[in-house]
Amino acid sequence: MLFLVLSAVNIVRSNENGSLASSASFFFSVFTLCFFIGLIAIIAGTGGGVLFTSLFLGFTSVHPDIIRATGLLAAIAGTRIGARTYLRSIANIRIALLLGLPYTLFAVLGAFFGLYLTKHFGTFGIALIKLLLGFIVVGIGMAYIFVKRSEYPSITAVDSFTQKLGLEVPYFEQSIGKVVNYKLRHAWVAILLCCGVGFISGTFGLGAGWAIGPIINLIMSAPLKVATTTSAVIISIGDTAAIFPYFMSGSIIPIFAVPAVTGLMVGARVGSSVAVRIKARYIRYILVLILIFAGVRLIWVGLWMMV
Amino acid sequence: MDDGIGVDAKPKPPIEGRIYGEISGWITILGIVIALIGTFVSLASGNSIFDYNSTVRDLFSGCREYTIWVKDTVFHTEPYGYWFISKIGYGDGLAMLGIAVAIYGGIVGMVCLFAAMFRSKEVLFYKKGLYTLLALLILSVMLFCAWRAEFAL
Repeated sequence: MLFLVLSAVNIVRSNENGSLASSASFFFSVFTLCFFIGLIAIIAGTGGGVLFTSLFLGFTSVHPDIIRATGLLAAIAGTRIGARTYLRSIANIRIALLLGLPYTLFAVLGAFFGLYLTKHFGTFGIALIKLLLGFIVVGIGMAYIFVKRSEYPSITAVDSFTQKLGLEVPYFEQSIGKVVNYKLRHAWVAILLCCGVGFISGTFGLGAGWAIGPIINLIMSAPLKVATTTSAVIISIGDTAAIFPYFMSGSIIPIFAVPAVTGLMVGARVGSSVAVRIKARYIRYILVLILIFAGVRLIWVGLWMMV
Repeated sequence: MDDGIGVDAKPKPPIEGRIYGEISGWITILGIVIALIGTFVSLASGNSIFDYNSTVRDLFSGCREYTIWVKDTVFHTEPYGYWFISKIGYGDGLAMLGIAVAIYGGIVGMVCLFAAMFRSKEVLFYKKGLYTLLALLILSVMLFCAWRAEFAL
């Protein structure tokens, strides 16, 4: 699968010299690459935004504004379609609204900041974005290895701030045939962290499932399923506002954005049905390898552009 | 139970969340379908505002979006706000309309979520109206960003 992804990267890169026979082949090259990105990402248990942005920023010379705008669009489309199912059962709309506000505000600020960097600092701004994203992507890869999530975290004490918010919404867990009543804590820490995650998401055009899920699961102690589904709802809300600065700056180019977004969505759809039949652990290792590889490449390119 | 797992009847998730999910999800799907149709129209008929060969070349030369819009489109200038509304006849105009519909799905969904909170006093004033206020603030940020896209360039 890694071979297929790298082959698709090469197909897209082979179009760089302008000798493209037809725009249709460009459309299908981008679609194919993004299909595999979406497929691998969903099987490994993440969204395609991180992989898309880091691979395209690391291995092509497409301008970062265009990649980040497309990455945000892909994150919005994927999470909205997921949220449609999740909000019927498990996702907690109160957590989504509470964390969605700081996430939204800071994602918008991040988007403006990202555009400011590339517009006013030129090559140095682009290099800085690639360098910082490289470190973030390597960090995400490491987090996938070392951070262990908890299916039903146990809580001994609930702080008064979180208790006053009345965030808990019980849900029916089909796998055990019972209603899960859970308690939450440390909401203020989660709010603060979501400010930072929103800023990163807006600045680099990433989805933020890699961060918000663990924040809700490990900091607020929500059950794993509540955390992962609610994080999709938060991203669908926050990145809607964050994409407008890119939208108004003309960073969405249809011939690039449309195949990328549809490829990621179709890949994710196929991946979700394949995921139940294969060992996701190995795909997760592949994801980590790709993330670290892309991260190191981004750091290298960023440093190269700076000197 | 101390592990928080009980055997009660299935609880119904808050309807405002379900309304947001359904409406934003379906509008997003609709938008993506329109965008795909628009792109296929462009590719199949050449009815496009972009010169695709030079667009692809400039994309992979690392050109800024400004350069692409100036060099490779019929506009020869940066696009202004919702430019595609006057260019629906072109495949790319239709594709951008689809993308805009997909993006706006979140705003429409949030408006409906906010409206759904008015169905009962219990929901509207839950925790002294905290969640109604949060929904209103998020919606305001979204609308401000959407407004800025057209009028504050």
